Amino acid sequence: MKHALPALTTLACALSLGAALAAPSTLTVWTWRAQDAPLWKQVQAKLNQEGYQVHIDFRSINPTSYDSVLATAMDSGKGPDIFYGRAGEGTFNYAASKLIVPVNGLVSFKNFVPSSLAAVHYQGKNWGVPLDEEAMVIFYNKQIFKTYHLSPPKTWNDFLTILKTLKSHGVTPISIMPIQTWLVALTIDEISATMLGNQGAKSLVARKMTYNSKPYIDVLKKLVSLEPYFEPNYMAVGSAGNEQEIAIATGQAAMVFDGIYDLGTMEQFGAKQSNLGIFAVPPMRAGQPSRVDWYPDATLVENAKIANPAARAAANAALKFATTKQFGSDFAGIAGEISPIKGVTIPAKYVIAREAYALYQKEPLNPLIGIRSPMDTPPPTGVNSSSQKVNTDVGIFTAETNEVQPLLSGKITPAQAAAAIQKAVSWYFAK
Amino acid sequence: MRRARRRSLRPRPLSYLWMLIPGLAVYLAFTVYPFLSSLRYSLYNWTGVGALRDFIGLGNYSFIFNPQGFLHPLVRAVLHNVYFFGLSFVLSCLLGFLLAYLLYSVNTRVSAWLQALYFVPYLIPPVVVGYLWSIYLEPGFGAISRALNALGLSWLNLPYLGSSRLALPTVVGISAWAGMGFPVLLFLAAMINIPSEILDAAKIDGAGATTTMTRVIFPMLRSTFVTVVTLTWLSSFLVFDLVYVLEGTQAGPNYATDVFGTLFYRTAWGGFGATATGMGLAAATAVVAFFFIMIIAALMVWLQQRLGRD
Amino acid sequence: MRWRSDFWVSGLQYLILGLWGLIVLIPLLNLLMLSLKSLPGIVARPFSLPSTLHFSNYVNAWKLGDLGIYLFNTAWMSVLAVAVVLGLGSLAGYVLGRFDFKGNRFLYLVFLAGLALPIQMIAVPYFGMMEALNLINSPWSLVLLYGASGLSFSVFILTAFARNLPTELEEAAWVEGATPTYVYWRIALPLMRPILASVGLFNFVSAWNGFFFPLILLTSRHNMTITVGILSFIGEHLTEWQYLLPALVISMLPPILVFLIVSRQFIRGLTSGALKI
Repeated sequence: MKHALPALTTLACALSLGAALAAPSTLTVWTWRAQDAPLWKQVQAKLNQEGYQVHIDFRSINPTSYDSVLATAMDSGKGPDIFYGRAGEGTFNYAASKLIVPVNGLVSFKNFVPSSLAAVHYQGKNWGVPLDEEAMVIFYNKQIFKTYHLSPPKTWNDFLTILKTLKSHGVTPISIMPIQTWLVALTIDEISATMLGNQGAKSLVARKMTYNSKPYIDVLKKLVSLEPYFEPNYMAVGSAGNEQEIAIATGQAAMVFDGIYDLGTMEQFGAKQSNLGIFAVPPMRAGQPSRVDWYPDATLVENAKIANPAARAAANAALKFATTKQFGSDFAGIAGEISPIKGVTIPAKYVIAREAYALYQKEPLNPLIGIRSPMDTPPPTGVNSSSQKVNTDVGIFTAETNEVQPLLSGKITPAQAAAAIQKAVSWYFAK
Repeated sequence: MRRARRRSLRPRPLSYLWMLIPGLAVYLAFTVYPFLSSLRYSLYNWTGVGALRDFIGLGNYSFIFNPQGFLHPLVRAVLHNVYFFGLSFVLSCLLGFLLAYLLYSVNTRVSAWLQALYFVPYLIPPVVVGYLWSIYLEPGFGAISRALNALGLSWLNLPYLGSSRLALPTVVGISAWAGMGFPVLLFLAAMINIPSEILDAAKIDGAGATTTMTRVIFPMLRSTFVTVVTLTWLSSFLVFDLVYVLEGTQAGPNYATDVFGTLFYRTAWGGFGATATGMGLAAATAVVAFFFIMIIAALMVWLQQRLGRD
Repeated sequence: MRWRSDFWVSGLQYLILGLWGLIVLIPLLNLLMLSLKSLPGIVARPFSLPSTLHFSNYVNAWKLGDLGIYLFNTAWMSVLAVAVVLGLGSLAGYVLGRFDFKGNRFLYLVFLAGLALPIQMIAVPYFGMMEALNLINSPWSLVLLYGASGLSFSVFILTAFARNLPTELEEAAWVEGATPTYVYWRIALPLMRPILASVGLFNFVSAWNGFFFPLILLTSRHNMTITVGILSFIGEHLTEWQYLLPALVISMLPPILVFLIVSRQFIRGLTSGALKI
């Protein structure tokens, strides 16, 4: 320690000197989406082309640690210049604390699909730029379907017949990961999209119906009714986090409920796009529409404390660029996911993502009732000095996530789960 | 009586107390101080983002002890920690002692190799330990379930990580697998430390292996034993990574593996499955748990000092 | 010290030791084997032998991950943290374990208390302190953290150990009028060598494997430690195990090496004769 202290001081000096020299040209960007690294190379090229002498320092942090790392840095005023916010609540918390800047005056949102802006809209202002939209579908292994002469179902009963057929041949019909509770909660959202439809969704949002109502209880019953078709001991699946993608990719299971963001994982584990197919949860009766559950996932937001004017200017320029069709195309081209910018299409090489995009365009659920819905964004708390109580409000997605395991393991009935979910989001219905 | 005589020979406090200062100073500055300054969070309703504004006094504490509030999850978590300790005690302390004794009594070269081998899992980051075991235990295509089926033991192919009854023991087992090297090493160090004169004397007196172990080795290791038990208690209480990796923030199934660490993390940092998200509440929970752990640890220390004395 | 009462007993001893050895060894060998497989093989057939050995996994992991820089950062950071812990911890442990004075038990409990706090709780204030010291993004912030927080465990163990040291040599030194510093340095420290090896190893491993704090405190790639660096292989939805596993195997080698060195020192320290007085 005797020698450490002088060294420490020297090092501190060296560091601050280094910072002073390097800062003007560096724009830091933090995300949990490692796959977006090439995207930000393109943003940098674009900024340099526009005359900003800037180097983008892109840092991806694993998603389970991301929120804590970001919050710690932001609280001490040492956060990144631009960061990825979680759409909705995750962005609003920073907005409410004035740690990020509203971007209305800075950028134009005319290119955006209007519904996507809910992800950044808080107290009359937009606090960032929506990045992506994710769609939830059922993936199936074409080879397995072909072997047993099956085709995508038109109705829920068709779906059940397919499941029975597969099971009778000793094939695991559906792989699911109850340890990854969030993914099962998304499955609930996925089933409720078709079963409640836009009409039901509207009544929920308008508080004319609750999560305690029969249609929603029926959704939970449907999930439970799939239980015989999951793999044996399915409650233990999901620690590694991608067992279900492995299962469909390697033909261990015929189907999975999943988001299009997991296509990359499936391919990585050996799935061929030509061997995968998708469909939305089928309706009760033929002729009724299916609905695709979708949600905005990430937003690009700008730190309110950027000391360096050059970095501030570059951040502004980057966000401005993020609202252009060019950026949307870059995003769709690199990630193979859906951009909320109008007119952006997914390149032909992403066959399945394109199919999902077509489904999403044809039959999107509107309004949303699960993740990223109005019921998923309890108002930020701790902003005022007047609450005098512990905040216990959670969003619908957290509420669903909490009930997934008890529901699947038969600890509680669908009606009890629905009651618990309704109780958790009562703040919305009390409005 | 001996004590009094010894003290008279001993140096004055000032001549040795200075040696305590550097350690204490570093520890106070970089651990205790940040801990104390984080205590003020427990008086606020604070999500962890932005300034501390919403002062609620002891609101978080009364919420923790409210049966309608946080009492149930906290008690459940603490009981799981206690269970974790109980099973870890059997595995790490008893099995660890047995293994150390066997290592002590076999050929030195074999012993040295085995010591190294037993220690290696301890060097693997918990994240990797968790991933390794989770792919072995995957019920469909995992190696263990396949092996069991192939051996005609399919009745043993259970949802080890997915049943409320089996999940916690499974996690403890994995944790013991990874951590066994350390108690073995401590016990072994203490056994080797036993002066050989004592053992030789026992031998001359005609004591057999069992008698030597129960009458000579075991008593001489009492204080090491208490040390290992105390450490097992503390590590059982602070367990987090492994549960987090194997069962997620929600410590499933149905919170069957929810320990204080996961409860704290879930409450502090949010994430999926928070019952109430807030750094303030989490800080208050940590304070409550801290005193609980300390009381028991202090009890163990007292025990250790008593045993060390005679 | 060998109790060869008969053939069967020693056979049983080796059987139990070997059984635990296998329980430990099989997953470890498997990890090594997995690191040489292609990705689909890693996950779908984790127990089968690889058809071809993908040594390229190691080359790719090394190239992709800046492993050399991470190893260097982690090594000097861990070594310094261990030096701080052993130096300050053995001083404090010696004093607390060998001398009766007012407040001894209280100070001991203060050190012990650190073991009971969830370390994540100090993240926010610690970050603020490091910012004030201008040490954000420097591994020095981790030297201080692991050096300080490691003291609770180390003082706890070292005090217990010091308390049980044989007293005869020390008594003789007091009679001859030796100072406590001299006694610490020439008598107690050599006696404590085996436990210092254990404590040092323990701290080395926890500094080496630390994840949460390096993730928070180190923001740029060239300052990162190995665990954080290699876990950046894990993206949100793509888990590149074919690079992650070789990187992990590489990252485990230095602690294993340290263990081999330390365990020899540990045995030598015990057999050096210092204890036979």
